Amino acid sequence: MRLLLLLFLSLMLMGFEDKPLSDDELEQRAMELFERLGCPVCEGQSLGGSSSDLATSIRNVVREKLSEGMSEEEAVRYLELRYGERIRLSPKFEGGKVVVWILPVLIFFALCIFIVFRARSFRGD
Amino acid sequence: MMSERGVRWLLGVVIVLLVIFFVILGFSLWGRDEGRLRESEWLGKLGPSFEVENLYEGKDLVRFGGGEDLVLLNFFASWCVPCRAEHELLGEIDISVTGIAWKDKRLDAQKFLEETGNPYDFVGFDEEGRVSVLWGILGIPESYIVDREGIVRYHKVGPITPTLLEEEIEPLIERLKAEG
Repeated sequence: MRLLLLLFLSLMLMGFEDKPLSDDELEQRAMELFERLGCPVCEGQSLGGSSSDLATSIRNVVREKLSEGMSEEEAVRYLELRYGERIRLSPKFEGGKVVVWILPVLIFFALCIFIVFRARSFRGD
Repeated sequence: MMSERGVRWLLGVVIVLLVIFFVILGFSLWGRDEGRLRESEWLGKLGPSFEVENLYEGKDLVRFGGGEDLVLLNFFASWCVPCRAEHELLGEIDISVTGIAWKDKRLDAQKFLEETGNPYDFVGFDEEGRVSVLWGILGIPESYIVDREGIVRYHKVGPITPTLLEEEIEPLIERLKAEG
């Protein structure tokens, strides 16, 4: 555990900077994209919100890719190939994961129906 | 009006759905943490080749990849404390070792290797972290073993330890050498 902490501290210690693009519109697109992506070494933080060195490197690489003409989705796929799907802050709506998205909705409606009928039966009593 | 039996049935459905939901959620969060630290997406795949500046020879770009030889690719930095712990062991590895100085200052990295000894056959200088992102590194030190076909056969986040060297790395290298 202490070793892992040292590893992450190593990533945080050095202060290398972001290199914003001179094209404001492209930079804006990049910033919006960073908010949809997760920092691979900071649990729950967006790529845009992380000050870790790794996140800075990834942001600068994404900026380069966008300025070379890559679309946002292509840039995400580029990162996905390297960091896996965990680079997306929200999991893709596909395959078995659909269940995770749909189940809470089903549970909510089932509970609503349950409460309504229960309340009616109490009034009936 | 729903019958008492119907209400009980509905409650049962809700409980079952809740259980399924939390089981799936638990498994996905568990797998997430494990994968975050241990697995490289390149494991078992053709590792990406790259061009990188030589740490000692200015801006000359040197190409890595193509898989002519077995290579241990090691990301390090002079400011990284765990990198010092594994440094000596890298010299004991019996294959070509390529080091990539990650987000370091050129002189600091050179001084670090001067002080601690240079176990690398080649040292690349990745000041901006481009090569590191290309390989999807999660922390340093981080090491990969790439076979003669260019396939990534081993990945380790964190320092190489004597136990790891003896139990995992050396047997793998022997096996890969025997494969030819």
